[in-house]
Amino acid sequence: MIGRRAFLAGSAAFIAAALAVMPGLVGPAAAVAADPSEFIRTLGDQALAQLVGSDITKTERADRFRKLLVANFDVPAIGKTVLGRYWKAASPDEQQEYLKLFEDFLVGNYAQRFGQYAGETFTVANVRDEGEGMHTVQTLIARPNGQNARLDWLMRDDGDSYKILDLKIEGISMSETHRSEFASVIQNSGGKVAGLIDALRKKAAQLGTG
Amino acid sequence: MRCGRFKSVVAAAGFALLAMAYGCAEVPTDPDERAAYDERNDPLEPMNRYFFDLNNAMDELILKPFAGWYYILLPNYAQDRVRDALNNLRSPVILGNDLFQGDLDRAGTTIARFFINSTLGIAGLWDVASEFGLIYHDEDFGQTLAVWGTGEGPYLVLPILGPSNPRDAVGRGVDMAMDPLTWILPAYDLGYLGYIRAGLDAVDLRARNLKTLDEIKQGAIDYYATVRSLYRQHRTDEIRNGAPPDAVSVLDYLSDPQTSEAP
Repeated sequence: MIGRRAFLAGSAAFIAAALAVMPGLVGPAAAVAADPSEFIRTLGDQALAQLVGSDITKTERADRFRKLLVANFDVPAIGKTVLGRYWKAASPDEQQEYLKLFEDFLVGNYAQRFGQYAGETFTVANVRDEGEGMHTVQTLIARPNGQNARLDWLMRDDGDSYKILDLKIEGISMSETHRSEFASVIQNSGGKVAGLIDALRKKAAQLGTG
Repeated sequence: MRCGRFKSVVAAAGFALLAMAYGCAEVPTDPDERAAYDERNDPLEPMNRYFFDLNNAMDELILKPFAGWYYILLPNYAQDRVRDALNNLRSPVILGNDLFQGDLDRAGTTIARFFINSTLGIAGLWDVASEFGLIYHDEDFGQTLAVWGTGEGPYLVLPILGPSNPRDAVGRGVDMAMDPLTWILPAYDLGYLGYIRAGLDAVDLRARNLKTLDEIKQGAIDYYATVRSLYRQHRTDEIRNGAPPDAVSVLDYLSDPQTSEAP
C-alpha cells in the first residue's frame, strides 16, 4: 500500500498518506481535499484502522463510526433524498426528528459490520467526473478470501473538502435501498411520516443507538 | 384493470387462485399516492408478502441450519472447490446467454474457462482459468431478455425460489431447458444428481451470505421492502454487467443544493 502511494508521489498524496497511518491523531475534517480519490483513500484507511478489529467494544465502534459518518457524509442531504416525496409532507419538527433518527439508523445499520473484517485492502480504481461538482470514486475492496467487492462513492465538492452523497456496494445504492424501504413503511402507516419516525425510534432502541 | 392484467400474467405462472385469495393491493386515486404505487410496482404485494414470510420461515427451519453446518464443518478450501465445480457446471447456460446477448468476447472467455477448468482444473474443482486472467462471470436468460428490451414486469415472490418477476421467472425456465444436464441426467436415470446439485447450490450460496443477510434483516424496518429493492438493484447491476449508470444527476441527490446543509 505504502509503495503504491510513493509511486503516486505529489506532496498532497504524501500528506494524506501520512494522515492515514496516524488516524488517531488527526480528525477526518483535516483530510486534504486534493482530489476525490485521495479523499476516499484517506477515509478508507481511517475506517479500516479505526473500526476493524475485535479489540474495540461495540459502543466504541459505534461512536467512532458516527464521527466518521458525520464528518464525511452529507447526512442531512442523504436523509432528505431517502425521504423523497415525503420530505415536504413532514412538518419542520418531524423533519428535525427524522434527520436525527436517520443518523442513528445509519449507525445502527452499518457500524458493527466492520467488526468482522480483517486483512482487507482498499484501492481506488477510477474517478468519474459527474459534473456540477460531483464525482464518483470507484474503489475495490480485496478480501482475504479472494472475493472482491466494488464500492462506488458519489460525492460533491463542498469548497474545502468533499461530502459523500451515496455509496453503492456492488451496484446497490445505500440511499435507494432505504428510500424504497422508508416509502413502504410510510405507505403502510397511511401515508404518515409520523409512522416512519415511530418505527425509526423503535429500531434505534432495538439496535441500541438512540 | 391494472391488477387484472397482472393477474393474467401470474395466472400463466400458476398463481391465479392464490392471487385471488390474497387479493391485489388497492390502486390509489390520489396522484402522489399513485406515483408511489407505480414506483413500488408490486400489485400482488399481499400475496408476495405471504410467500416471503413462508420462504423466510422455511429458510430459518431448513436452509439456514444446513448452510450453518456446511459453513462450520467444511473447510473454506473445500467450500471453494464446491463453488468452483458448480460454476463450471453452469458454463453451457452462461455460454448460451453470452451468445444470445451477442457478447462474443465473454462467450470466448466462457468457452476457454470451461475447457481449462474441466481438464487442468480436474472436473472444474479448481478454477485454474482465473489464474490466466479468465475471470468468472454469470449470465442467465432473464438478463438476456432484459438486454433484448423486455421489461421486468411487477415484482413477484415465488414459493421456495424467492424474489423474482415475470421476466426472470421465464428466464429461469429457459435456462433449465438450455442446460444439457437437465436432459442428460434423467436419460441415464441420474435425475437425483440434478436435485443434489440444486440443493448444494442453494446451501453454498446461503452459507456465503449468513452474516450479511442476518445484518440486513436485523437492521431493516421493513425487511420485505428492503429485499425487494435489493433484488431489483442487484438485477439491474447484473444486466449492466457491473457497469456504472450512464449519468448521475445532482437533482436526484440534492433537490436544493444551496440549502441541503441546513434543512
